Amino acid sequence: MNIFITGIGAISSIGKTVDECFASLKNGKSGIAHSSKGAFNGYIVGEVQIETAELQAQYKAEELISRTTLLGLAAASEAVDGHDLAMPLRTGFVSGTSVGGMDISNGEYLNHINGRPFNKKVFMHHACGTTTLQMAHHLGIKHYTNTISTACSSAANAILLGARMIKAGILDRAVVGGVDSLSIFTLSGFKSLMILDNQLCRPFDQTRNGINIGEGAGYLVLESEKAIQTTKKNAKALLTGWDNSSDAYHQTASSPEGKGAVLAMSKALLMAGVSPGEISYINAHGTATPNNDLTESTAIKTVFGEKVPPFSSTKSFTGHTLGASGGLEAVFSVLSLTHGSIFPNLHFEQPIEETGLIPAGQFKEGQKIKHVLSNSFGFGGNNTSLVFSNL
Amino acid sequence: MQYIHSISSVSIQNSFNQEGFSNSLVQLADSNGLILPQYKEWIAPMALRRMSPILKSSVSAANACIKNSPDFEIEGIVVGTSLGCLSDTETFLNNINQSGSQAISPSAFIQSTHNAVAGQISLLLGNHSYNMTHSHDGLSFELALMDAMLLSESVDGLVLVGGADEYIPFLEEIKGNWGVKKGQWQSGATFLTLGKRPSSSGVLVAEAIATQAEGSIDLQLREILHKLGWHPESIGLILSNCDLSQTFPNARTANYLEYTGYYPTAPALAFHIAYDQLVSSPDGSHRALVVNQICTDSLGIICLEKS
Repeated sequence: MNIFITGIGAISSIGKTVDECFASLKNGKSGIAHSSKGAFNGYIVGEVQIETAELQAQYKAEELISRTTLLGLAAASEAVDGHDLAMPLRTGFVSGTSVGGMDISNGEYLNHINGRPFNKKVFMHHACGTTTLQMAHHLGIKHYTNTISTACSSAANAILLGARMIKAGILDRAVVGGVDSLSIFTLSGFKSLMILDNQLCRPFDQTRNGINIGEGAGYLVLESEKAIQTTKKNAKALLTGWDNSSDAYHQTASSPEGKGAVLAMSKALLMAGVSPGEISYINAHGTATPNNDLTESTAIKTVFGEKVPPFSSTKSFTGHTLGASGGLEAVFSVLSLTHGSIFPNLHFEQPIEETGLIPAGQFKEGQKIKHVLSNSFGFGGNNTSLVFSNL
Repeated sequence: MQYIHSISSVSIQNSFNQEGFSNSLVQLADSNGLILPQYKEWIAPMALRRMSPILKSSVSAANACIKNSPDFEIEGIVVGTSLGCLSDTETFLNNINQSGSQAISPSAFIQSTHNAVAGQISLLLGNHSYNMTHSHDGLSFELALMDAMLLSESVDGLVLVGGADEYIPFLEEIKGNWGVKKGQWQSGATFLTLGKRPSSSGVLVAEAIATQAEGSIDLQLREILHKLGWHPESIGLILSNCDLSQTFPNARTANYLEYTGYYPTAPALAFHIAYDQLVSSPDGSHRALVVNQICTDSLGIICLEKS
């Protein structure tokens, strides 16, 4: 059975809407820069160019709410715009996030341990599930809500789960994707792992030195064939294949042969009934860490052999949006299909010596894009690949 | 429906590898805290050294389950945890606070991610299958169970499912916001293996639901039981954390929080207690329900049957 994508929504450092993001991708305009916020002094990040207060006002949100919830709401609202969520269809909301409302809880906890006054109510917004429930409440989705938290593959897994439930006939429709906002916790965390670059990240480049963290959200509306007959929405693309497999090698690093990545990509392609040669574009995980880009390249070569399709990491534009990345990049994958686009991999100069792969250098439009593969790999050896196809 | 092939819990009850433990439950007020297994028997020393409490209890319970169902491959690992790895989260925040301009050790950060439990299990087993972590407040375990049941239909082997949350003293400070009284917070980890094939225990999960509570829970419950073809009179045991009206004339009922303590994935332990009653209670009930309405808006229902 087909899974139709009938809505997309996105917010990131390169745009507050899908159209704005696409324009930046087209014009080679990255959103990564020194942070404007004192809390993130000294870090270069992909920050969404909107104040939390403005989002609060826009969604008439309660005074105490995490930026994560608000960014998620912005993208999810765009995705469901024009959809009647009150229709008698079993509709679910599955959202992925790595740290939920940590953006406000980490500061409050630091107040507490330093003997400063702190607001206990802030911790009600800490849990991943709470951010999802708040979004679901605003959107009006009640029947099934869920939160997936698998680090950097969270949103991709949320999409995968929603699709599985539609395929199994448990849901008719699902709003799926993910969100994360900037936090001291994650910035310090990646810095402690020494995989944070203080220059613009260079995915797949021999001199790559780590990630730039970004924030943002990306959501899709998925519908079954039966649902689309009721909603009469126009589909933009199909979600035709998916897989989640484990690398089981190390808590953070991936195996030299990229076993988990090979499994995820191969099985997603098999499910989609698409041969490697039919993939028009790969939106890679491409975090720009020495480890990921090498192992992902190796895995891509294993799956695609000598015929590696055009590929790029759009994290060179948005930064690594952690739990949101799979959702944001799913939206970009759909844009690739609907605009016939290949997105460039910014800041690339020399290929990785061991693999020699060269990512796409220029934006292209009007290409014949039939099938797109999107990769999202998270800590804990969590590997997810999604296949999107033209109608 | 899926069969339960093995189950184990680390909790305030004697629930680790002890069939029949549910016939001598200790009330929360009388308990002396968690009854821990000999971790060294279940986890290699190198791995054990750096593990947080939630990781130790989860990995032990998971390993016990796998040991008790050795004939099948594990084809999925699905964990529900609402608050995740709190002690490592707290440690890392303290590290950030104390570090100044010095480098911070990454260990606590790595282990703070919500999927550290599921990830660690796959790592220690060398398991390459589906690996998922559900973190959705009071319904995290029910959602993990639903996912696992769906997966189990399409694999030949077993799916390992767990529900775990850990207590840190800081939760007592902010307890008021969750309506949890002093001394009620607890930790716990329950793991089980599910499969299509009948198990030696004969206990199956007929249904697992996580949804929005709509008005009367009794009405929602009746609808679910009706779909299963279960008469209310056939229910022998109900473990819940909310009040149900007199719709189940033959059911013993109990508030499971008195035996599990409060943690968001406590329904997993309630599930284990219900399972254990079905296999070992002298009263011969063959159907049990776990009903979770810890938040007024949400509703979790698990239906167990001994065939």
